[in-house]
Amino acid sequence: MESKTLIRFLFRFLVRSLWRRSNGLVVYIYELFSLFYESMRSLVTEGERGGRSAFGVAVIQILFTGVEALLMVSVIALLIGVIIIIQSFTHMPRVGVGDYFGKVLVMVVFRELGPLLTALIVIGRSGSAIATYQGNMKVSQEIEALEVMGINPVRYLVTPTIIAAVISMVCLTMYFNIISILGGYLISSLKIEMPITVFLQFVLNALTVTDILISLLKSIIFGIIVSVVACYHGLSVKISFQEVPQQTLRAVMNSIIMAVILNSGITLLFYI
Amino acid sequence: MNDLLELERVSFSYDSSPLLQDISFGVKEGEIFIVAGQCGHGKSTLLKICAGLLKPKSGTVRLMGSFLNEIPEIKLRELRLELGYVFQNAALIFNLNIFENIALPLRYHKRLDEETIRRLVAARLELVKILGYEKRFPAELSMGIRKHAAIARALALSPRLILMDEPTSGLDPINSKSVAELIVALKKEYGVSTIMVTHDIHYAFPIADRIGILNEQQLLAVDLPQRLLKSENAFVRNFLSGLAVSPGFSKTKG
Repeated sequence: MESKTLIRFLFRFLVRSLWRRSNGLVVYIYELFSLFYESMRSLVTEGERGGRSAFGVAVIQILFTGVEALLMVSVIALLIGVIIIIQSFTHMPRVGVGDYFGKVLVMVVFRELGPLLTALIVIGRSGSAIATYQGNMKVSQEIEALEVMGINPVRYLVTPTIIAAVISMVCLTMYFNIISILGGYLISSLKIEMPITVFLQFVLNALTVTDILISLLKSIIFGIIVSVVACYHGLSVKISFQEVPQQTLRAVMNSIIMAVILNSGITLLFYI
Repeated sequence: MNDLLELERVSFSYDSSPLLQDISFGVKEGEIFIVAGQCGHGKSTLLKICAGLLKPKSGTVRLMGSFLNEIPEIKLRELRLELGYVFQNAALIFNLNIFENIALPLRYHKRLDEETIRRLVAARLELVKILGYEKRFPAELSMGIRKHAAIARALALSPRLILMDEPTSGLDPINSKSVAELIVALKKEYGVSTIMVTHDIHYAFPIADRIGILNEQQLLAVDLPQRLLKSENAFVRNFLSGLAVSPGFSKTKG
């Protein structure tokens, strides 16, 4: 009898805490959508007002998120291409599919690793920086200062950050894909003497328009997620500098989780 | 003359205990109104309510004819173009230099060419006497210069009303006097009204047209400075005691 009561109590506790957590998740996702909607709506409601200032913010963000990340993306992309080709050359001939390395490279890089790894790099570099920057602005009353100047903080800070993050993510992902293929060519030219035209022929034969479009779609979605989540957590800081690293950590962790889940979701949707 | 800003029975609390209760006052065009009181008694909160940054729990705030609790956010932003606000910590945008800080509202709201923006920013900097600091970033400057820059930014759009949160706190006597003189100059030359909240009554008293004393959630008295000196309220008399021997008092007056 006592064990039954205990089990019932534990079951109720579990259901209640799950219900509370799922409620919190729904509210969180709703608030992220609201921030995204508000930022896009500000493009219409504010018209040209603030366009010049917001453009400046977007340019700085593209420089930071896109241009300054090129070196890191280059190194990682090149090594990923190398790893994939080494593994393909090592194992695939054993099972009689040695000619399929181009297909493997395209499948792994364009469809999966290109968008996902680029997203992880952008989350680590820019997502954390955006959340920290906006959190600090909130604590030092800079956001309030914008408001009393009649400046919409969403229009001035969030909208250009989202646009810049999407542009940077798309460019970086395409750049990642190209550099990975280059890495693959470099290692394969060391192993077997293969002209670049032949190598590219293998790759292009394996590549479809759908692969490119899905890579693009993923990078656009990841760009939105990284920027909206970072801005949301940055602007969620209330009164203390102590909250800034806490919110930054949440922004990074939640962005990673969402990027991985959505990556899997899109793959399931288009490739199964 | 209609009030530029009018508060009617405004109450506010951050939690269950009230911070402000039944606050009522109005500020006229060209008037310098000082809200004085001890630290932690809700002066900054009151100023934020005046600017619509905080919503009162009850009561109404009428800014330039519009009730702040009734208008949409976009209309409130329009109203704020007539409003300048100087924060206690200056709240300059830290990644922008002084020029860009002052140019920000001009760039955001007006379609002006670069030459006009440069001219307008230079005029504001000259007015607050910090010309030459344009290229410096806030972190490189003393609090005195930052506060002057914050005043210049508040003046960027030529507002009708300026709200100042402790503009002399943390400043040396020379900078404090300079801020007080600037407020008087803005009134005389441009007809700008000012609401200033402060505990630094030595610099506020001589320049005020009217003073309100805030204590224990309420405005104890709102009156002309000279009449407040004869107030029957013990707290008001106690708060203003020592003014007569203040070195800045008689010199700044007028």
